[in-house]
Amino acid sequence: MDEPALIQSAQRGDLDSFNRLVLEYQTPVYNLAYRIMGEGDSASDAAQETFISAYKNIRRYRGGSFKGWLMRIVTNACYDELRRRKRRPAASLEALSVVETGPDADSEARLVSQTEGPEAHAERSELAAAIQHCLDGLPDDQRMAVVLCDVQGMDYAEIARSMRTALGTVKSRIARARLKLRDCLHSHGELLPAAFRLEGDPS
Amino acid sequence: MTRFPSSDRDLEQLSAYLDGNLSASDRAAFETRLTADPSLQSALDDLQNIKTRLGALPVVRAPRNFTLTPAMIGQSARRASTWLPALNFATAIAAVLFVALVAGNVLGRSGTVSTAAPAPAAEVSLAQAPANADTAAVTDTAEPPVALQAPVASAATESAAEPFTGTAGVGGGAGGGAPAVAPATSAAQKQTATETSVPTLEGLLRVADTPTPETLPTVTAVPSVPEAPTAEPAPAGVAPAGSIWQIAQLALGLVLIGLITASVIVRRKK
Repeated sequence: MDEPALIQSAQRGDLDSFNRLVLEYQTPVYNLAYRIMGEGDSASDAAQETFISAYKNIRRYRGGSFKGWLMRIVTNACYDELRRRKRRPAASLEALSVVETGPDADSEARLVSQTEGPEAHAERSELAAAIQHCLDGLPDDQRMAVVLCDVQGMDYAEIARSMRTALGTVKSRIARARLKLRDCLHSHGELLPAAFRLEGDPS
Repeated sequence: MTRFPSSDRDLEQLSAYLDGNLSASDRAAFETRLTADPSLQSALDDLQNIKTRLGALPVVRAPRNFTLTPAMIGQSARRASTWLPALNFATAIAAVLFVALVAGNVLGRSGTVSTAAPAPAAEVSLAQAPANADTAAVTDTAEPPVALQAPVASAATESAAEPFTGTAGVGGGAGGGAPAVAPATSAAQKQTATETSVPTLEGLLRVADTPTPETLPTVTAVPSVPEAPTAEPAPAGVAPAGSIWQIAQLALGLVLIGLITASVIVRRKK
């Protein structure tokens, strides 16, 4: 894939070229949205909105990592949606019910695995479901900060820009989120396979 | 389970140390504490574990493709871009028409006041006064066109009193837009005076006597018009015309407001 050429064509309004970029990056975009939003439907909406927004604003793209640019857009889309839900709690009833009943089983069943055997795949899926469940239990701001840091690998400054907040706030949110995740995973310790338990978990 | 540092500062330092976000001096000081405090080291191990597990979360396959169709981006944008100029044009046209209508209404109203109101007054004064055969004839012929009734009648009155009747033309001009009867009459008198090179003393006295004092009060004396048989068509003909103007004005105003609102909505959607 000649990414710069596709981007240039897309900047001239060629939708086919842009769609080739979509196919290339839709998985990381959807994954980030899924980890932040906590369930598949909202993640799909955020991903779709991201690509629409990216196409409409592609003339503003000034080089650098195209994937990073898309990740910033999806982060903003998720952040705006979470804030909108906070302002209008009725709109997030569906999401709340998902959080209460656990992670999106369908999505976790679609985990990409090419090398694992069925048993290892099942164990890993179980752990992933437990982690996602613990992530879903975090306050929105903490979940977003820790996903951007530990799942997405962004640095603190980048996270602060995406979340439109101070660096110190990001630092604090990540620390608290990790502590809560640790406590949550300890409480799930008995349910997890031995290989995935945290140090000090009951055996 | 590892006991975690109770202070927020220690927790944040642990987390920042893990991410390599401590300054060199803070890092050195924190490493000294780590070697001296096994529980702090254990807490660091727990956080490292969490970070590793989050980073190792498996990739979730997207449930569908997110490729875009023209309907998703093109059509909505195209629709907005084609509707917006049309809306702007329609709004501009409506605004111009509205202003023209208001102006026309204002001018028309002042015109009908100056022309229609004196008409019965003149006729009442004619009816009250012993009718001159000439004036009655002129008044009869001037009845059907309502707008011209007043000027013609007053002109007829003046023509009955005056030998020079240039006021008929002046009266028509006053009917086109003079705001009040008295200035119109005085303007008529002025023009009459200027048009006639040598006005007679008798004529000047009659002009001064007859129209001005009687026309002003008779503007308010319209209700008494039914007494005069020739006065009936005037109010009946003027009132509907005025209400039609107002209805048209109101309707166009509403259309204008609707168009402006639509333009704003389309612009915001775009």
